[in-house]
Amino acid sequence: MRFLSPLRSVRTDRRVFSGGLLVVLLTLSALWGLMGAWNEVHATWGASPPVAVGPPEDLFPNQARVRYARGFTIEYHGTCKRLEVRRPWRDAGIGFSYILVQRGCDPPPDLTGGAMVVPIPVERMALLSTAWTAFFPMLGVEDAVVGLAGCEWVHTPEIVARIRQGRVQEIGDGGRGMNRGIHLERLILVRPDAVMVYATGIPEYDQHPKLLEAGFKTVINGSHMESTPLGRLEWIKFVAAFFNREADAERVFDDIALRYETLAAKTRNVTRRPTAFCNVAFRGTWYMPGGAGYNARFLEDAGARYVWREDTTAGVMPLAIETVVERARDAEFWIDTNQARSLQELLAMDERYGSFASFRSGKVFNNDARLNANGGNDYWETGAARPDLVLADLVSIFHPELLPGHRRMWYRQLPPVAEHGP
Amino acid sequence: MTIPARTESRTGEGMPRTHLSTTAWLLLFSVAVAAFGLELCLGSVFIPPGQVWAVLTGLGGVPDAWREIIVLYRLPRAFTAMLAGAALGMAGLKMQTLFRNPLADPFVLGISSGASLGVALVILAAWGFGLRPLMEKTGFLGNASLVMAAVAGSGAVLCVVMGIARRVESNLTLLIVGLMFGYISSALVNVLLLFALEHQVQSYLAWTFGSYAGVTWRQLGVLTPAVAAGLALAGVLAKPLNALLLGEGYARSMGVNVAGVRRWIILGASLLSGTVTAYCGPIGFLGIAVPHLCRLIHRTSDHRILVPAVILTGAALSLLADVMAQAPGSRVLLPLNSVTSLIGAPVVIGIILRGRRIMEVAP
Repeated sequence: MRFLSPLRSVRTDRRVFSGGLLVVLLTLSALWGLMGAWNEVHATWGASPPVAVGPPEDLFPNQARVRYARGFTIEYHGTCKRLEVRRPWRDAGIGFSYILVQRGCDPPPDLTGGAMVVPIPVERMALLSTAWTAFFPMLGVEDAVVGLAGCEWVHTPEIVARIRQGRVQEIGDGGRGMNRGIHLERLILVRPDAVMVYATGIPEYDQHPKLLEAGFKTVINGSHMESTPLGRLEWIKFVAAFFNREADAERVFDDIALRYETLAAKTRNVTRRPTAFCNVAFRGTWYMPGGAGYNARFLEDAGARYVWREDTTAGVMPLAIETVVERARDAEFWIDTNQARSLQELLAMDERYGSFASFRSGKVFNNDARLNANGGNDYWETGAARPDLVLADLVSIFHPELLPGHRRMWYRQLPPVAEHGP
Repeated sequence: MTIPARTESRTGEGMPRTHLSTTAWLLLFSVAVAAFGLELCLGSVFIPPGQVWAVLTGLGGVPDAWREIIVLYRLPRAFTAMLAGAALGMAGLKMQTLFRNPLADPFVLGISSGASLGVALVILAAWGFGLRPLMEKTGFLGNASLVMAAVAGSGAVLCVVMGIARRVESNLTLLIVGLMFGYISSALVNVLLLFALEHQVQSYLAWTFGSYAGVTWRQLGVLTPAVAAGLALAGVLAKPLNALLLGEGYARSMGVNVAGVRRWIILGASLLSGTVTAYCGPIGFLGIAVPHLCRLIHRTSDHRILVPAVILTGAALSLLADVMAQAPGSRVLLPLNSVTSLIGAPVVIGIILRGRRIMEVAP
């Protein structure tokens, strides 16, 4: 007991001392942060009036509002933004939080619990998917793309030009599709401020654990989980938040959403809705889009009657082929035939396709009109950024009278025999 | 040391059978027919058995969609299941006898690995090497191309194995060579898959799941004669196979041309397993389990009984497995390979644990 009291006094002294030090440090860091913010604001906006000294919310005067997307939220807190990705993949048990802090500012300590802090605006970004490349020129930040996995499949002209100039580096490991990974050594050479990836929840395919371990600011983009075309497009606001380009994102989004809704309104009261179904079978199993998903929404908005419209699945349903025969053989239109580029190729896949009414009348359409030399399909790139134009393609298929003279971008009617392109 | 013990135990069970009663054959046959009927009546879409009968007998009054489902989908699927089950069971029987090894299956010689390699090559070549336009012109795409690739792949492996069989005496060497082929092909397949596009990986995986549903009437036109030829060859070989059970030395002393018989056995088994694998994917389990089931149920290793018994049992088991894979009433298809193993493995374990000997070496 006797020994304890001096010990305690030492402890108390230490506590007082460390408390004092903490106060001093905090003050210093606050000052430092303020100065940093001041400098940063000057650097970023140049001649624009200094805003950092005003109320904190002045730092982000242009805020994004999320209206259609279900997979992410965005909040503004003075010097930082909080991005929440709620559904990174199907049936995900976890979400991801990102605190986007204006360069030079400190993250508010009460917000960062479990969240990753990303300094913004990001100047160098690497991407795992070409599905988002079209967003960057739309936001005016194509220069920020410095690395991309799958450079050979890109269509977006601004990005293609930068790849040619060597300003965008290939960061993929040569794998394709689900196997596509990031080549860590190449990525390190690219020195990105942030890496944007998608995730599936399947450890063999996911890149983010490895990237996080290597210390990269890794952001998971869950746009592919959205079940509506406009919801998917709205992830442009998610991307914009990293560059303080919310104003551009809002403008672009509102414009496209208006076009989309206007066109969808035109088909709402059509007197005849032709029936339609999607995709092809792989050895007896037909991967049909769910009735509550992205493709179903496109078909319904385009004035068609999707034969599985009452279904409540958002993802893809693996169906036994006879289920599909019963329901879809008399449907009028067949949309998306994957790799089949002609009616002949469809028959080569399975000669029984020939008994479908859509096949017999030749009303079979695929979204493969724009493939580049390496087989990259622009439908998944520009199409993801322009749902209004995709919808227009579909409307012109089901209701040509509504869009006379429309030239389709991605969809084309399958010719009897393939013309030889790429 | 073990051989006298076996003889004793068998004498306890009575003499091994050399023929089955007519009732037993009838029973076996009717099980196969019933399985065929079930396969036609059950599926994702409910069609009343009366309507199925009406379609088969050409009566009218059946909705077109139903008629189409039965004629274009269920009938070819049922025939395929039957042929595949019989073929794989027979190939397994031959391999088990040839190698005198209860673990041998139709694929020990690397036949299915060769088929997999062929399939992987074609799926990739369609894009990777710019062969697509050429393949389109020749109609060499889609299901048909997979089949041709698998036939080519298993055929190539077969040729090499036959070449080696001509030069080496030892069956064990042959077995190890087959195993090595398996490793080489799966290594190559993995490398190819790494560079495959998503949909290519998907079609490859779909192929490895195994399915009878992708086979059309036109493809049955090739599958049927190939399997029939392989089965006929097995019938002819029944006697020499019996002699081989006692060892090659004994067979030789009985006047059997061992080297020649061995080549015919390999050719027949490879033809059977190669064509089935090509059309339906690598179907596991049936090939190893059906011969054992037949030996255990009929208590014999006489090939004059086993050959027809394996054909009937293989067909019936394969049909029943496919009925279950349809998960009747649901709209999905289960992977056939999972069903055959999930249902079949416990059955075999149960029979073994009931104290029966898994493989008789002598007749």
